[in-house]
Amino acid sequence: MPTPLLEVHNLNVRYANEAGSLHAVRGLSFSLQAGETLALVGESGSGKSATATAIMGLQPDSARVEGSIRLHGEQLVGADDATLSLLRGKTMAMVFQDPLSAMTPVYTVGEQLMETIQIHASGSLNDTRAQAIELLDLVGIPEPHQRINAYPHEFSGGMRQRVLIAMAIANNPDVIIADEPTTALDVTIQAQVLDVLQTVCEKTNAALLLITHDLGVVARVADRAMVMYAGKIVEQGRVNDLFYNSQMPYTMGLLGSLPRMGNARTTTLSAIKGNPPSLLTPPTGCAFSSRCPMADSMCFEHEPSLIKVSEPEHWSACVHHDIIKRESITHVDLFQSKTIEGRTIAPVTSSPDKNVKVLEMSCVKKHYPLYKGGVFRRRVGTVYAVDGIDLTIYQGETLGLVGESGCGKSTTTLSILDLKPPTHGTISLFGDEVRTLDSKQRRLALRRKLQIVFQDPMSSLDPRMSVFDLIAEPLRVFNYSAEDMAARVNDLLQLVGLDASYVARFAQQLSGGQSQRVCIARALALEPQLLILDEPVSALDVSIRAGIVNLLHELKLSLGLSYLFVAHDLALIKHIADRVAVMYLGKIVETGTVDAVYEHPRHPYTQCLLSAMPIADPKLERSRVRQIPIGELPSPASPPKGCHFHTRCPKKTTLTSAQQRLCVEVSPDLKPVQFLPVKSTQELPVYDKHLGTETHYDRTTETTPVHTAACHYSQ
Amino acid sequence: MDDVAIKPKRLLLKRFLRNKTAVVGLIIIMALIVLALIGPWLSPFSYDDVDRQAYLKPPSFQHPMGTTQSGRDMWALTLHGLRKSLVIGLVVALLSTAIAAVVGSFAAYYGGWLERFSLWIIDLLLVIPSFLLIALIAGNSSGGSSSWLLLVLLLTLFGWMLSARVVRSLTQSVRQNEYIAAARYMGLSGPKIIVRHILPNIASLLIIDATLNVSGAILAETSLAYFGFGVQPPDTSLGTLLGDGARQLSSFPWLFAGPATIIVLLILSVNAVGDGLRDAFDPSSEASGKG
Repeated sequence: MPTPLLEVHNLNVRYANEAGSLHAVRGLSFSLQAGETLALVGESGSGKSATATAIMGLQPDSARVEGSIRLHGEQLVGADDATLSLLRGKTMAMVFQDPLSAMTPVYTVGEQLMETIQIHASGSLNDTRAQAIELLDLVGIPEPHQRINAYPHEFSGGMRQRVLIAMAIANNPDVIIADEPTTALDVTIQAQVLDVLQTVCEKTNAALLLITHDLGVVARVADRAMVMYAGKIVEQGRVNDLFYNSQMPYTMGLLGSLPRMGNARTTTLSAIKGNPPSLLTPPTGCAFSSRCPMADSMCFEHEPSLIKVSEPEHWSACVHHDIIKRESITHVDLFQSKTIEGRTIAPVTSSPDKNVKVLEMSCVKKHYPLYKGGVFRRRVGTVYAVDGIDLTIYQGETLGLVGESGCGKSTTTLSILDLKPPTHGTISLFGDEVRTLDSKQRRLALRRKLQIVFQDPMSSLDPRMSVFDLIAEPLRVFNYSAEDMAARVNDLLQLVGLDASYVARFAQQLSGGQSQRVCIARALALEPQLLILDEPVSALDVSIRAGIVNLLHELKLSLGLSYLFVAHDLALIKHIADRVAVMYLGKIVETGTVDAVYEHPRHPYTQCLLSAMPIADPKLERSRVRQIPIGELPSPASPPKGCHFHTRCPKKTTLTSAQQRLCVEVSPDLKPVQFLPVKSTQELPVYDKHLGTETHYDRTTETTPVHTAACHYSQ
Repeated sequence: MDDVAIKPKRLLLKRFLRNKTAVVGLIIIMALIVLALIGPWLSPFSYDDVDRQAYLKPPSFQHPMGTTQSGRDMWALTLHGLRKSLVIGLVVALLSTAIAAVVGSFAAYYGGWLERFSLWIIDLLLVIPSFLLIALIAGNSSGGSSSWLLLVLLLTLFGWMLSARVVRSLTQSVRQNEYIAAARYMGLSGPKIIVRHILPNIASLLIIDATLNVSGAILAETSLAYFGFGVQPPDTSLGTLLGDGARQLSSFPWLFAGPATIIVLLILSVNAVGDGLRDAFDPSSEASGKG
């Protein structure tokens, strides 16, 4: 084995804070070879970022770092700032998570990039500038000659992350540490940035330490991976070994908790119970033992160390590694349960009642004026946040709403919840048109039937209220008596799988998953019929998500709820939704049953989304042919003419110029591409006003289409 | 992990107690309040008694802080002045913080014309030279035993604007939280949301602000009184005493020394407590978090 580039041995990081000493990294050892991509996977609080900052020497003053970190054989632990400054940016470089705050807003990107180069190398200004332009070109910034003079705020998040990658590779470092480099980005941009990161590492032969929580990203780019839990590595090995032959229950649980594209929808997700331990008081036994279904007395006695479980380099820290190997135990054996908090889970199928519409939006537009100036405000434009959408949700149905940030998902949900007439179009809830709501009582009565669960459970619970007050708040609005209230709160806690003793706690004493359960309980308090779920699990850790998703599913079936499920995670939507609507720049571009849309996506944007989404399956992920949209999301204040997607459409480039003109000039409507299959099919021609042709669909006398797409060339 | 976590209130106390200056300040304030309350029983003389045997006498056994030109006991006067100053300070601070909380939070929560109108009023009151105006109104009032009430009203009227601005900007950030949206979609009305969700979450600022407003109000009253526009005789306050004493500082220093010491102690302590509270509420500020 060649001498490693970076060698970390028995690294310990402790933080001093009010409550005591937090042992964030506990005896971490690994090595990184030149040209290799090593992923460090873990949930929040597992010590990933503490490891990265300790290697870079960027830990806060309150942190104590012990152990050994050797870069090219040179000891970094205890080295002074001057020594480290010579190495940072030159031999090792870092890409941070949040591209929005990682650049100084008062200097141009060119100045900041050139500064990085000049710190470590002397060269004339012109040479440096040429080098900077070359770097920008390498990371895929269009027109680098002009863009080098732009300020960070003129760049989108994805573009800024590219610039930060350019800065990281500016001095040909041997090691690049990327701390969640794509977490803040949208899925199509994430795909672009990962491509760039992979390309630059190949070109410069740099080793990449990729820190992430996303197993799909690991499957896509990493050679080896380490799974970190409670400050320790619990499993380590080549990506294929780790994904297809996991030997540690925690890794199995993580993999099993992800909704898979390929899975049948009748299975539940593997949920790991409980929460990660607090590192203020280090666990005596295996840190995972309290959550592990395999745990026995041995697990609680001493903490297992890493043991080589298979050649060439697959290590696992589990007392029961021999049993796991002998009986080839998988996550299905360990975590696949048929019950949630003691109640049986019904199979994941629902039968919506197509006769009752709980929500009907037709041609809804929501525009916001853009003003300029202080005293004499004048209107300078319009943001077309929602620009003519039709949505229907039937009773007992889950409609998934998918799209990237800025596409108008949130505006859509808020315009439903506001119970106010939109700029244009009609919104009907439970048969009542919003415009006809004349009295406060009627509006309040409608409120009861419609509730929301937000993305961030921490921000949606008032920190000054106890769990009881939080859940009881909607009941107070509707004047419940004290006894009824107490009984109802108890029922609700039980319903969402929380112990009754939680009533006295405050939000900050709850974990993320528990907080989200309280939010769900609060939303269910008034027995609503339609629940709007705005990214309900995306702020939660991977191992917690599955439990919430299972809970939501079970509640829907047992209480007969309808969901509007907003998410950017397509696999999750596939798992939970009956129908899906894909949104792009204020319009719905494709809608249909989940099976139809996922198996035969007809709109190029849907195809892009599906292919950009990382899948936690290394072989599949690496062999896929990707279709990535070009460039960035245009501003909703000036959407492109014609088809909104034409500026980024990969399909358009394959068309003739005559065909392309239609894309640029005419905005396509949602057209049916598949109808409800009924036995007596007959061919009926449909006249297409834009193409001027008659198209023959596989259609029936039935008029409800199961799949529609807004593309001129969706056939 | 839940059992390890420290209760918020105890953490607050712990952080406050760590700040020695603030603790000393708190003790001094307590002592001064007690002194002001039991003042009438600490001296054989009342503040408006005149001792015809002792005009302008230095401290003696009978008059521990001396007497004034009109033969009034300085010790009794100082304690009475302290009481009046404390009352003025507390009432003005409470009232102006309350006005600030209401105006600031409603303006920020509702936005639109209400916000613009409130800001307009705030700016208007800020540019008016309040000192002159108060001096004019208070100076022209008929005097009498309730003249200090007019002073309290005027000080309140011109003392809430800066706090209101801070409340407004804090409300704007609290309003971003999703629990506000959740409450709205639950059917809670605007005023209820403000009272139940917004004000408790900016309570820390309100407490700090009210504390610092106390010293502000006392100082404002003192400077007015120094120029003779404050509390009118025979009633007195620390400021009035200071103003009278300052004119004869070199020849009769005891007229000045007592009230001056008390007011310096009071203002320093109130500010120290205010700073201590701020650090306790906001662990990210500089002075706390060590150790």
